[in-house]
Amino acid sequence: MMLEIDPQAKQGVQLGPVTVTAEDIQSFAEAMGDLNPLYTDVETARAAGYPDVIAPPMFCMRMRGGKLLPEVPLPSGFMSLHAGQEIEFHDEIIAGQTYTITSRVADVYEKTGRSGPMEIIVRESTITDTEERTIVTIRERQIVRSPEKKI
Amino acid sequence: MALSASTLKVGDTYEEQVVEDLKRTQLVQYAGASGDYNPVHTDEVFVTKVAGYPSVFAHGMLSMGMTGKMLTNYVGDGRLTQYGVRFTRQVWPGDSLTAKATVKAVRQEEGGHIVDLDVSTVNQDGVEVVSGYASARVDP
Repeated sequence: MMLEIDPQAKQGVQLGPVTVTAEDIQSFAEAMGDLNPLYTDVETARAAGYPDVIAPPMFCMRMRGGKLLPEVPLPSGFMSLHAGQEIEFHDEIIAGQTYTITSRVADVYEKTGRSGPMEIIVRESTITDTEERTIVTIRERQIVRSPEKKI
Repeated sequence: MALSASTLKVGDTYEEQVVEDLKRTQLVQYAGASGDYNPVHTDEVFVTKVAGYPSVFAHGMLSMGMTGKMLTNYVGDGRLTQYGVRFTRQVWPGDSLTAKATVKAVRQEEGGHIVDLDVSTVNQDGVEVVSGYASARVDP
């Protein structure tokens, strides 16, 4: 198996600009059970020198969207799962600020794991602010394999 | 409270329980908050009858996020510069997870101080579910 990657997917797709709200941050922090007041209380965040509440580090995953983009169509019945990811943080995501997210397929390779051959899709997403500063870079690996083998 | 390079030693550890008896409700809540509606995390009928797993299981990113809570509690807010993980085993409803950071190196970079950490999260049976690394800015 070798997955077909659309040339457009290597170019990348853009999400946003999107303005982060305090409500988005609060619901994300609650879902992780992380009620750090910097994430939920504007007064605490201001006292710490931020203009509004900041997001937990992993909020970047909500910003890159619920789906892995660009989408790579899988053959019928194929399963896929997240293998892991690497994130670089350059600055905080702050409520009320506007960001743009660009995601592209950076690499595709085959490897043999515990339970047989699999293919790995590597995507890279970059979150930038309105001054085009890079705030967060995410590299993530998606495992793809045929239906007769469980991941 | 930020960490200080002068008092950190290679081999120092910090750990905390990041979830006890993970509820299916939290998986649904995370799906909603993240926009990740992959049915393997929320749809018990699909996941058992079609996908052939014993039950729904947690989003890798939820495990990574809960582990991240331990990291920010340890290194302080706005300090994390890098965080990478592999998801080594699935996390199931009912699991309790303990996340641990171990100091791997304390170094200087561009005039600032950085701590490099090994990160490991295990379930109630001691089986590792998240394995990774992180780096953070620390005070001198």
